[in-house]
Amino acid sequence: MKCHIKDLGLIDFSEAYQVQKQIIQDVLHDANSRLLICEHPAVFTMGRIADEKFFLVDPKAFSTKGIDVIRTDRGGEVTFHGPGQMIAYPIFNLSDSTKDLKIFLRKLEEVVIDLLKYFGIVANRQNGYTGVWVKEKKIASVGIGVKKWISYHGIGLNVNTDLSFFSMIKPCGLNVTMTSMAQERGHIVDYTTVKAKLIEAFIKEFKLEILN
Amino acid sequence: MTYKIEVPFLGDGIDKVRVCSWHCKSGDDIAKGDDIVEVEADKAVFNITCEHKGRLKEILTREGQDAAIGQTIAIIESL
Repeated sequence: MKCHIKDLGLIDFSEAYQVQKQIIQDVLHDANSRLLICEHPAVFTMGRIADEKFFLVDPKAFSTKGIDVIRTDRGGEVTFHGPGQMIAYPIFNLSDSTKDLKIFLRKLEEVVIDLLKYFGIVANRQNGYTGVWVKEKKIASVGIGVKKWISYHGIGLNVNTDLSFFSMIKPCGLNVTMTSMAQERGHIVDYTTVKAKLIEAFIKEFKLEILN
Repeated sequence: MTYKIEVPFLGDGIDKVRVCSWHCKSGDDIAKGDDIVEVEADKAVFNITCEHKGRLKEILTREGQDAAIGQTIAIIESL
């Protein structure tokens, strides 16, 4: 799969969503995939049919703190994105590989599991619950959208994320404790190295031919 | 002439979806290639594309309802 990689840096969720929409058109035009890496200012997002009952705090209260709550066209329930959480948006042409959403989701999980291995963190899947776990704690959430077999949205991996925000929600609608690479390692993790290893893991799992 | 909008194959192990959001309603004109409905399975929202130009005649499966893979969820009539 031929792929461009684009680092969007720190970018508002809504702005990144508009970028994704444009890039979906680019992929439709030239059939080459794109991998976007970024970080968002604090925001809560909800999947298309997510239930507001999974907020443990009245979501209206977040606006007084300048934190948006955004419903968007991805699968899954409510989650948090914020500084220190690495976001990967694979805008992949699935017609170029396999038109099988389960296989794609498992591959996204494998990217994260492989990346974490480099940092000495043993991660796993939990059968029936998409995402990546360290024993019983969740370290990365996965939720995607697909249009014309082009994927968008993607992965949120807690690197050095402030996990206290997750106490305001039932993440992904589950009674789950969230963790981060920093928590598992006992110290802040170098974000630049994580980014490089994430890209390596994507290249390996999806056999990417990088165009830039 | 009428056409069925069916839930396509989405992957081994996915045997049903939940209808999330119709992008159109009965009586709307549809262009070939329009994404007309979002369905969810696992953690994926999938847009079903209409492969025919026509008019949405009837929605058979409403938002919040489940549909099996291969199930007809709407009918399109040609103009």
